[in-house]
Amino acid sequence: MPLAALALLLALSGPTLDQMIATVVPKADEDKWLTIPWRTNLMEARQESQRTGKPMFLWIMNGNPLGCT
Amino acid sequence: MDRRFTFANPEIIALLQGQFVPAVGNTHELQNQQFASSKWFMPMAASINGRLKNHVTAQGFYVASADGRGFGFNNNRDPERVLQFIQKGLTAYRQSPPSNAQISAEEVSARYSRGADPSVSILSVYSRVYPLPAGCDELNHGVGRDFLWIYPEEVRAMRQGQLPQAFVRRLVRYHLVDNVRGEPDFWNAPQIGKEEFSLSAKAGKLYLVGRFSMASMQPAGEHGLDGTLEAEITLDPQQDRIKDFKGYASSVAWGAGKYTPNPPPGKFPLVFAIVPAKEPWAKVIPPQAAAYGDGDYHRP
Repeated sequence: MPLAALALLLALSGPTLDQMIATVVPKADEDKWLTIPWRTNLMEARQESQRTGKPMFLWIMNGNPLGCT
Repeated sequence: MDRRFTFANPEIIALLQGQFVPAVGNTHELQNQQFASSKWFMPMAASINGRLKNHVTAQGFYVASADGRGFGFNNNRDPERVLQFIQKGLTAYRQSPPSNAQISAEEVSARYSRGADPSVSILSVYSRVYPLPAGCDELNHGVGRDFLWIYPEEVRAMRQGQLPQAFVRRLVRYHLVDNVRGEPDFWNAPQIGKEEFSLSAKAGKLYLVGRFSMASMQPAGEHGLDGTLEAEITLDPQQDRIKDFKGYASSVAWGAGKYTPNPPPGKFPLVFAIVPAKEPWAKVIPPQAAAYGDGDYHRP
């Protein structure tokens, strides 16, 4: 099928782009982990830890947890 | 798993919000690059994570103090075990408070990640197995996430009605991947069977449509993706930036990558949404494929 025909088919078929996107983006209950105020700069976190007397909790992954996978 | 269970646990959330300074990091940046944060993190991690002697990944959870002492390491995601780990780490920290550490202004302001150049337009890419096949493994219930960069020269080309091939290749190689269950295998050029995209303009907007098909080669066809993509793009009239991007891709996927085990059996639906990134950290956290260095990401 030529791409122009594919474009027409996608435009005419079913739900709108916004509706389809809404099926994929995270829902509020999937973003509870973002209520934790994660810092991205470990050196700034160190400084804050020293200032507040609170320990650091580090979540280290193969891929930044705030961005990937 | 971490996002859906561990850090959705109300007790864990409350502890991290109130009693800790919570922070995130990427092993690809901390272990393989010489940022100031790497120089502090690696000795601390090695002091409590014996596995690092074998040069394996440092991924996991750590409780640490500013003076570089580690109070615990755990790489288990079970919320109960993580809760116990956090409580134990907090107790150990309080029993042995840190000494005063010298943290220079240079260390704090030093570059700590391969963040985007301010001229880059940043999009969020989400992926999901949808609809979920009945009875599939819990890992498939999550959402895959990454950031996608579009460079100003690519926006300029789009404005002139051209579809930059580097952007298409980047989209296909690094972003149309199954990252729902973990770190995905990116596609390399020989694994791309179909990559047909076109760009058209109508009423002040650009429309991108395309077909893609990718499959692993060793073993052949063990995992793959086959689908279509459509996107409505609005360019900023003043700058070479993306103002709005509404993208959706639908595919049939199959198989597991190296670090993405337990896919649904057989072929399953994998869908993608691509929208402007609104999170402030999108400026400092690079796309996963750019974490090693953005040269290859820029010219895939």
